[in-house]
Amino acid sequence: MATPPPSSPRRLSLLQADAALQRPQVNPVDLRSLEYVDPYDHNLMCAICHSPFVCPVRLECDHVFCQRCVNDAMSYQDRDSRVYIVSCPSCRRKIENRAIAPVPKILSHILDDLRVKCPLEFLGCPEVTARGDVQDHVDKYCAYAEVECSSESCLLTVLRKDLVKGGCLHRVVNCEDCERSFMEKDLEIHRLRHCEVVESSCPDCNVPVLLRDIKVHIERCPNAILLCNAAEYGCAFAARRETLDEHLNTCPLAKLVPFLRLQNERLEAHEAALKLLRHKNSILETSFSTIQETLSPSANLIDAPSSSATASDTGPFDSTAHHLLCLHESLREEVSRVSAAVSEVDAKASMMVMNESLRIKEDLSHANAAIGSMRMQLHWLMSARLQNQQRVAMVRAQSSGEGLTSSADAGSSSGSVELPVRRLSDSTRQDTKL
Amino acid sequence: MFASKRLGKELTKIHQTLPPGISLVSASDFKEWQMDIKVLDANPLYLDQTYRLRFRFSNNYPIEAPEVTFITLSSPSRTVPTHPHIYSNGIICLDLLGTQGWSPVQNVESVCMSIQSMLTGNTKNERPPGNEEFVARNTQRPRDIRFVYEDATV
Repeated sequence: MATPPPSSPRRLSLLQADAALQRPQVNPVDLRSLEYVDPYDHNLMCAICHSPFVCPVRLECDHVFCQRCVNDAMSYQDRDSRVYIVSCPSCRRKIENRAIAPVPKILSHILDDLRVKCPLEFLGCPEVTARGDVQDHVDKYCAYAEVECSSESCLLTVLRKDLVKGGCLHRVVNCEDCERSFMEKDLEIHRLRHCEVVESSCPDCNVPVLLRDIKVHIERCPNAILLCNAAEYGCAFAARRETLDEHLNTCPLAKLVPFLRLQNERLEAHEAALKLLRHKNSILETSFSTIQETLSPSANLIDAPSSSATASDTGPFDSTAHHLLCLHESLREEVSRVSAAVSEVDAKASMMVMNESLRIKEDLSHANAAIGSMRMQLHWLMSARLQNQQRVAMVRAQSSGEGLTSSADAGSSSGSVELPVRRLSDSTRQDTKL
Repeated sequence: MFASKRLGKELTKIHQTLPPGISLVSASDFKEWQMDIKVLDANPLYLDQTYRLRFRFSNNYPIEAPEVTFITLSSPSRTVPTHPHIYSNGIICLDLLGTQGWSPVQNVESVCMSIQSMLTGNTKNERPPGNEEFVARNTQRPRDIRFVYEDATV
């Protein structure tokens, strides 16, 4: 039996599938805790955790959830009901077969394209990347990810960005000023940000200041030597913060600063526009030259034989291309004129055919009528002759003077005599009709 | 951890938009929230009244149902609505809030709407049978009480 019976609980197989989906990694990124940069479509949201799906799976009823979410929900249902009947969290339909179906690839792709912040953002990593790439980023590139110390004997970790400093950064050293001990990798941050003893002096007023406060001090120091606001436009004046205000009131350049700044901005905008136009122009030029190249060889082909015979023809034209275009134009006109003539001829011919056929039809009907009348006359003639013959035969029989039987014959033949007479009158009537 | 993440997302959505008659009163942490609900139509039982709901979330939310009860306050004046499924100590007998009826797909907003519609549809001005006895002896958490749903129509 390769497959287990469908009724058996699949919890274990679910978990195994879960584990197989994740690649073996030192620090697998928990996709569920990522922070998303852009708002995402609510259809991509798992109804249970309200985040975009992570390892989505499809239940029998076609509802999709994160694998972890649906596992959690089902194990909770199991614990409560103690019988292996679970239902879909969305539609409450009973789930007979807990084997999960995969979701369409396109959904995974859409989810992998969502942009997320690096999970090590709290350490200072500014990276924003697609969700599908975040594991790679942390594993290989993130400067704030922890990697093994470069010293082979050391088992501790350092941030990737500190690796370039070389050597083991886990030796314990003392801060020169406060005498507290730190690992070397933490010393720099300690001295810059936290140490309460290390001193530095203000470059301008020579007052000793804590190194961690020096930035704040310089911004406020009354003795700091500052440059005139118009330094970038040529004013070389520099003075202490207190006396600078007087200079600013008198300095003509300082008063022009807003105007000059505006001019600079406009200049930059124009330069950008010019650059764009130049680019466009170069594109147009290249395309024009390609057009010319495609045109000129064919123009040469036509010109070559004709140039010897009609060299004067090309005279008035600026270039071979122009000449070719003119030629093309005149040919086009010629063709249209010819086609107009053809259609005219066609119309004439069809008109003529129609007239002729009408006349022929009329003639035909005349001929038909004539034939009909001739047939009638023929009939009349034929019947007249038949009548004559019969009459002659009858006269012969009477003259021989035979018995009763022959007189009966005569009676019957005299009945047949009347018929041709009637038909005769008929035919004459038809004749007058014509 | 995921309870607070999910509740944080719900809170952002609640701050943006809520259905009419439902408002957020306090959500200072991810353990307990308070919501005010009003019955919107002209049901004479609850006319012009506002009721206070208290949500308590466990670490297993939303896999586990939140504990939702009506609470009484003196200022502003909030009482427990009279309803055949609401005990006078504020405990609500609603299958949605029990272990059987809860689904992790539900959220604070949907629970509020369910309770709102449960009040809207009610016509009986009475407490559940055995209210006094239940209120006097119940020490259990609402989630662990096994209610018997006798009447599905109310």
